[in-house]
Amino acid sequence: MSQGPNVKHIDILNLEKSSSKPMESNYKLLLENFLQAINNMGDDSEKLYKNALEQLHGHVKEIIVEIIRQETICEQTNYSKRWGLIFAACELKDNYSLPFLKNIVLAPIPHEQSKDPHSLSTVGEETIVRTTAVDGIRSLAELGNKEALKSLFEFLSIPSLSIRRASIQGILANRNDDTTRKKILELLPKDQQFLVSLKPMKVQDFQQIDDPEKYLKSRQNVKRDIKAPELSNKDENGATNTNPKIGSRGDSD
Amino acid sequence: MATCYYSVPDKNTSGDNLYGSNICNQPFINWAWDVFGFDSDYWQDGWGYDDPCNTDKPLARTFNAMWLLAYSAEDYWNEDWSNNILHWGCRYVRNQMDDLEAKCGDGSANAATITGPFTDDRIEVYLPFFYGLNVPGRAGTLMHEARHMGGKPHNANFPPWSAYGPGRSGADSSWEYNGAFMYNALYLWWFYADGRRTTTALRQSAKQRAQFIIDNAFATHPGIVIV
Repeated sequence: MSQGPNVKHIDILNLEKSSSKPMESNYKLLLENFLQAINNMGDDSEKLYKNALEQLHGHVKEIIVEIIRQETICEQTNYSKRWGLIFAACELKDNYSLPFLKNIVLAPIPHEQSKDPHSLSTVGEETIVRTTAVDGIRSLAELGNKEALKSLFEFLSIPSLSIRRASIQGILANRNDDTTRKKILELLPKDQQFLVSLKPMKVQDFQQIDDPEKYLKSRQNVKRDIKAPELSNKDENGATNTNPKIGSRGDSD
Repeated sequence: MATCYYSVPDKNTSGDNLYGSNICNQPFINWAWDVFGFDSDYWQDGWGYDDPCNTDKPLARTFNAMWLLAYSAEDYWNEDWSNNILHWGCRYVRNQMDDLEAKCGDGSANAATITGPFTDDRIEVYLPFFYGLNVPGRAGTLMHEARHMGGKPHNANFPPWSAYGPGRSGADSSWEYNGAFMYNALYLWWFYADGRRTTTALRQSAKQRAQFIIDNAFATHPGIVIV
């Protein structure tokens, strides 16, 4: 939070031309279809997502090659796409994806690019991509891949608390005994040994926010305390909207 | 006044293609525009005021996050404060919003809440908010800023292990502090656990982001991993 003068600084935004290219292969099409299905919404969203994933399963090796190709050419700051590609490799749950996922985790995290990481952290985005890959490797270990389990131990040397945390959870999901815990502790710096004792937690079992209403700046704003309209494809007149506009019923200010 | 330029990253992978088709609905746009405190002066000149369905533009991308906030509970019409944050999160955000302004920013922040005496209290959202975060990430950011608007600043420095920068200011002391990071993480956690009208993948994305916050944003680690 910061303070600022009561002056209106209105900015102008212009669009740069896109450099996107047309689709190149069927495997690319299948992968693009999956990446789009990730974001499906509505009552059929999960079904559509599963269908898109199922189509990838028919061509695992080719799809992984396409994932690697796209991840290589993807802009580093396009975290949504990179995350989607890595998640696709995880969802395939195939040993063929292990070298790719391992490379993602082991790649050094670039230095922070943001001056205000608390609001936007490039290290954070890079870390999230990597912990997703660690979880994918954990799945392979759970399917019996010994190299995957070995990799999880290897990741404990990476100086990132979140990568270590994800790796430990992966190891303990496969081998939760005193010997394994001792081995993990030997590989961790002292100030991060608490990671071995973290409690797996469901959200409903953890501390919630009691009486959130009391935390409102001023008790309910009547104008704002209006529920969202019912989900529907129709507008108030029963017609599908093709060209909605702001202010057709008056602005808020 | 600043002039900035943007390029639109792949809308399939940010979620804006698919969420976009849902926001393009006059009743939803009327409602969202009215209740989230948009200041119309700041959404013209390329920001999307005249083109609210176009998810190339910031306004529609903001509406997408609001759609997620509004409809991700199974019984989305039940916003009772006694329920969980997946239910009342949208209600909280819109009650806290004062002026919501789109700005270029300097590329180093997603959003900021500005309050104080002799100040026009407002939430500013910047280019990385629209084009760097996926839709759940934007929804979590709105929760975060809404908590600041409620008068809860960060109160600690990041711990030695934090990816946000060891020792830097901007952390919350603990989960129990009930600060902006807790609201952000808790919303995403509930979205992961019980979010509806979405996919396993986006829920997993929310889980990863929530756990990252849990690991790095509190001076005292909350001591848990999400399952």
